[in-house]
Amino acid sequence: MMENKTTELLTTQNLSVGYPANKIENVLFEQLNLSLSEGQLVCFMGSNGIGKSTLIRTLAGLQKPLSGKVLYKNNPSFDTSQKISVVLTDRISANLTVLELITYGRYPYLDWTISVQEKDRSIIDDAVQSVRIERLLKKRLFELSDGQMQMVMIARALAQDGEILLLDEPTAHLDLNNRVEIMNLLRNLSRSTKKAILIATHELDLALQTADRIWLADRKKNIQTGIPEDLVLDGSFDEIFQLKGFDLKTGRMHHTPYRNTMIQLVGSGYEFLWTKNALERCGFQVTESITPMRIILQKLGSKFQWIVQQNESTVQFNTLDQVINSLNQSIAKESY
Amino acid sequence: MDNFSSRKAVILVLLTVLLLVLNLSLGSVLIPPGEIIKILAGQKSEQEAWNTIIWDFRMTKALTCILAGGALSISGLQMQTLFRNALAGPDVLGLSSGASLAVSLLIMAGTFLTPGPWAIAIAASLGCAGVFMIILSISFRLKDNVSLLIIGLMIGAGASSIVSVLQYLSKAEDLQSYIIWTFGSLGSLNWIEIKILAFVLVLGSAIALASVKTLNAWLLGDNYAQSVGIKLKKSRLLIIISACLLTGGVTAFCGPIAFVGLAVPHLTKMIFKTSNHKILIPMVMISGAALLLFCDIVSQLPGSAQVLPINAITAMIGAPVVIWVILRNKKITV
Repeated sequence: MMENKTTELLTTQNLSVGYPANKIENVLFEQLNLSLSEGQLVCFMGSNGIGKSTLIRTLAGLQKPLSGKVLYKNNPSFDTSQKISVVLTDRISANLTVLELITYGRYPYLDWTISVQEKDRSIIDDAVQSVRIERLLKKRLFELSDGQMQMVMIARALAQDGEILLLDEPTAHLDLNNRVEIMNLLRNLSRSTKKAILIATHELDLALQTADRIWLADRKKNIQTGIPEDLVLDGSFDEIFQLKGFDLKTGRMHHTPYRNTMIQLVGSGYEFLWTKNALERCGFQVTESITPMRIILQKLGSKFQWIVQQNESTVQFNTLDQVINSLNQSIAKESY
Repeated sequence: MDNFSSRKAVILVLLTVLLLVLNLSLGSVLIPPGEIIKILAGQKSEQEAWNTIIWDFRMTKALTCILAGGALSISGLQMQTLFRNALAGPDVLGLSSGASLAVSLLIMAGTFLTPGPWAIAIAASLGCAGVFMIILSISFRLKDNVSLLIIGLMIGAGASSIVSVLQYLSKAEDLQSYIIWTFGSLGSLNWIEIKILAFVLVLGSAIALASVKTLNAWLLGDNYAQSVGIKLKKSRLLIIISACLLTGGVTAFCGPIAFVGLAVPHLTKMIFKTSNHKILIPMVMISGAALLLFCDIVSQLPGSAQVLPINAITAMIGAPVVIWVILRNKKITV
């Protein structure tokens, strides 16, 4: 296999992570040999409580490893505050403005008087611009929505200007728009700034579509790595997440056809897929071969029409909701 | 600091100067304002007694107010930030309790008839220092601040219970002189004592000013503070040393002055609407001085020879003010 020519920024050497206790050590991960390369977006996945946050804190130097080392460009002793920036799950309750919080990113470079210089200001401006939160700068933290708060925390981390960015569940509690926005932002940052970005996340679908590599924490205190597609195809995801009723290879929920009705669906495009989705969700079995019941999909301009043919009767519907309702009624009649 | 905040700072300084002048002018003896200005300008008044009253009684007391108010307020601010707890104050580490225990031992269990002010000051310092050593040795073992807070409160509770036993067993006169000490007193310091107090407090304040960066970083919590390069144990040690010098110094010379250290940081944060310690530390110092000067004026009951205990006044005036400010702002943060 060809080795990528990107530089490895952060590597771990036989790293064991966990909490020391008096009698028995609580080991979460053992003997990890991982690496983060510049310009690479890595999504770190695993079930709750498996130790994702602990590993992130250990990589960031906030917690001592049980054994092994974290190296920056093969150097074990480096100033983590100038190389690694973090976005953690810790809540911040202080009464600060957005600008004040972002300025904290410059602390590793300031002396005890914390006087911000021209250079620091331009780095803060760049961070604010790349996250596009100019209009939030004067707001106070408690006035922000969860999504805005995460953007501000990312801007703070960017102002710290580390080559490595570690984020612990940056999209938790956010709606789909915000989740996609943040993943896109991080995706673009890794491309444009050449930062190495590690995101601990539960967003399987977003991770599979944006990550350059996946770190997958398994139950044997180990982490499997690879590009997303390889890990899907070799079944690693299924093994770890034990996805119940979800077929990752097709990206769909598995539906049991609990109604003994076959429906022939005629149509194409994404409207075909969504109609199929609705029918299967309601327990019908969808086929393309000829059956007594047939649904024909028509597109009229930007609108759709469903024609349901059954026992020589033909009915037209304008929404899928009506289609499903009518199907349910006709089945109820039959069984009556 | 923006324009709005600097205007507030100027008003605060002017208010403090006004309170200082009032504090010097009011008292049980009526001295005409012209004479006061003359005496303060360094000239002698014809009334020999007035010179002594202004310089050796009122000025020492006013300076004590400024020093103690500023010191306790900084100490309270540091504790609130370190523990990220709005209810923390200078006494959460158990320092005043240590001082109370030492003083109560001296007064109630000692063989002295009436211990002098120096003996009390030394006992209080030793009590503070003893608790300080305990806290310090514990702080090296603990990783989190909440445990430290609880241990501080436990030390305080333990010391108070010993004091209760002593109070129960002691003679009525000893009990009375101990109770009077706990009321706090700002007017008993002479110039030598003020110089010693000022030295200790300037040292503590200097450490606090040098810690503005770490204090700000503590606001984000341990993890973020560490991630921006703050050495947690070292900075915590410095903050504890500073708070102990400030609280211990004031308690040794003035007794356990309550409430100022808890209330002033909140008032200041609400006036300046910031958590930035670079602004807060100097402003808290001025506000604390102003509040204690004002409380002292009230406790003098101007025009009468009666003096009320300062500890009764601080809470009587401070509590309604804090409640009013909170109701107006509807939000309190550390």
